[in-house]
This record gives sequence, C-alpha cells and structure tokens, in this order.
Amino acid sequence: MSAPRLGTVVRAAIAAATIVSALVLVTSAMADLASLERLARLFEGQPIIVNSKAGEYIVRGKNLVPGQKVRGQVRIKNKGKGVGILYVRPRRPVDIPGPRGGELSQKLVLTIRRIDRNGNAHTVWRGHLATMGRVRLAVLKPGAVRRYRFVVSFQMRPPARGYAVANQYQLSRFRTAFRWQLVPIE
Amino acid sequence: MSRRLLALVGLALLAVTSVAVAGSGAWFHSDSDSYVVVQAAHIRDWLNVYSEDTDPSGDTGYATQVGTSLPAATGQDEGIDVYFQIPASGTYTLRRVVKVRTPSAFPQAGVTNVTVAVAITADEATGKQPIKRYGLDAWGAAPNWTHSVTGWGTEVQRQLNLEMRFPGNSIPPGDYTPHVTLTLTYSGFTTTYYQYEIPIRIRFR
Repeated sequence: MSAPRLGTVVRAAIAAATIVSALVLVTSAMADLASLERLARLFEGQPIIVNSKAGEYIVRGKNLVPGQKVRGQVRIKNKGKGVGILYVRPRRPVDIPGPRGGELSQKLVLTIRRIDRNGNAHTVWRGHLATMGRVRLAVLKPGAVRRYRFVVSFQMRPPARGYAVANQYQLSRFRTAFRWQLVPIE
Repeated sequence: MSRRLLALVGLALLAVTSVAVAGSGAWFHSDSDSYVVVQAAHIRDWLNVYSEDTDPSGDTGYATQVGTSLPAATGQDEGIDVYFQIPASGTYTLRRVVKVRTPSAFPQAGVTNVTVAVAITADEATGKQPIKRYGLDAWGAAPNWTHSVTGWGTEVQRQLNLEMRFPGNSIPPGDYTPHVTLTLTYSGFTTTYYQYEIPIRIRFR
C-alpha cells in the first residue's frame, strides 16, 4: 500500500471513530438525563441533590426597614446512592445601592436553621451575608432529607449621631444565588 | 493535511476522554441553585417633597430667590435642589420653600397617620448656621415654626418655611449649605430611618 493511500485510510478511520464516539456520548447523555433515576444509575454510588427551591427564591423581601426579618424554607434531599457532604455558598452576589449609595449586604444578617422532625429549629450558621463563604451544613446519607429555614434580617444600630448612617440604605437592593452542593465522600 | 490530521486526532481524544471521565464519576458532585433577594424601603412611599415645577396639584406661590421671580426650589424627593441668593442686608423669611405631602395610602397596613419631625444642621464647611427659624406649617397659613407634626394622615400637604439670620460678623457674606432633615416615624416604628435630607444652598451677597 502506498504512503498517500495509507494516510487517507488512517484519516478516514479517525474520522469514523470521532463520529461514533460523539454519537455514543450524545445518546448516552440524552438517555441518562431523561430522569434522575437514570442519572443515579449512570453515576452509581454518587450522591444526588434534590432541592425543593431549585431555581426559585428561598427568601424574597421588599420594603424592608431596620429590624425587620424575612424568611423562607427549603428542603434538600440526597436522592443518590452515595453519601455526600452538603455545602451551601452564596454565588454571584449583587448589591444595587439606592440613591444614597449604601450597600445593603453590609447590613444583612443571615441565619440558617435546621428544622428537625419535631419542628424545632437549630441554628447551623449565622453571620453577615457580605462575609459568607462556603458553609458545611451536614452529611447526607442516601435518602436523607434536611429542611432549612433562611432568615434574613436587616440589622442596623440606631445612628450615634446625625442622619447619614440611617439614610444611606434606603431603596438599596441585594440579590444572590445560593449554590447547594453535595460532594461525595470517598 | 497534517493540520487536519492533528485536529481529527484531538477531537477523537476529547471524545474518548469525555466518555471515560463521565462514566467514572470521578468529577461528580451534585449541585443546585436557589435565590435570595431583598430591598430596603424608601421614604418616598410615605412622604413626598415637591417644588413648584413638580407639584402634582399645580399649586403656586412657592418661595423665589430674593428680588427675582426665579423659583428657589426645583426637582422632587431626594432630587430636590434649593438655592437662594439673598442680599446680606436684612432678615428674610422664605415661605413655602417646598411642599411636603403624604400619599393617598401608607404602605404599612394599619398605619393611618405618621409623625414628621423637622430639624436643621449647620453648613459643614464653616460650621455656621444661617437658618434662624424653620417649620413645617399648614399649607397657605402664616409661619408657625412647627418642628414636629403628629397625626399626619394621608393626602395632607404642608409647607416648609425658613427664616434667615441677619448677615453680619457671625454670618459673613459667602456661600453656605445647611440641611433641613425630615424624619418620619409611625406608631410601632421609631427607628431613625425614613429621612429626607434637603440641602439648602444659600449665597449671601
């Protein structure tokens, strides 16, 4: 077989392999993403998160004044076959200051409470939203469910003097996503 | 040709690696996003400040710059701008500097009236206070220098009146910017939060 002909055959073989691989990949992904159960089978032994507020607001508050709180609840389940560590962290926080320029996140305190089976609340994290990083909340076995209550409070001490401190947060807005993550335990 | 060959090899490797990695589960973690959004309240839902050019009722007779027909105030709410040129040779009372009005309904259920207190602060640069007397008085009435209005219901308007000090050694000719602060509270909410801070720019000439 001459060299040019050999090259053509090799190229054709690689092209065919690429197309077949791509087809296998796409078909497999489409089939397996059709349902969480299939996804679970594909990733046997992995934890899978189910979030009751996926893509939705846990907490939504308007016209907040100092001292006021807004709250909401979320239910997190491990639907996979493996044990996972549950983390939550703010993602892409956005401060939109009002006319006086105050950044509301500086005055927002978040309390995360776990609600147990008896309905009792246990604080698992509390702090300023502006300083929040990734928080480890629990270890979830397969099938385990946790309920969490988010309480966002607008905390501002009365100004020691003057008026600027109290005024500057009027009409300020804050928005963030919270990313829930189940990381498998090796 | 060799470039095409390299590209094909690269694609094949990528496909094979993707399938292998996805199948192994080694990269896997499961995640999901939820959201939180909050917005702080604003005084303009409770109280509005108007000048003659923004007055929704079309009322007139607002204060003008002394000796001219130019309006002293323009804009509204936190965008209000007040500027007076005043001869440094007398005492002037400036009536109806701005209109202060409550809306047709208060945003908080159950609140039927509010309290509004008015206060002044000196010019920051000099520490001097060219305003002698001030008050939120009944619309159209003579100045009564009211510093706190209680039981202020909906759709009620009042006017801000100011009296300037006599310019002299204590207030020499020049530019001053004292502030008038309006603070709104209501039953059950006494925090110093709902405020307008109105700069009053004054030129004694």
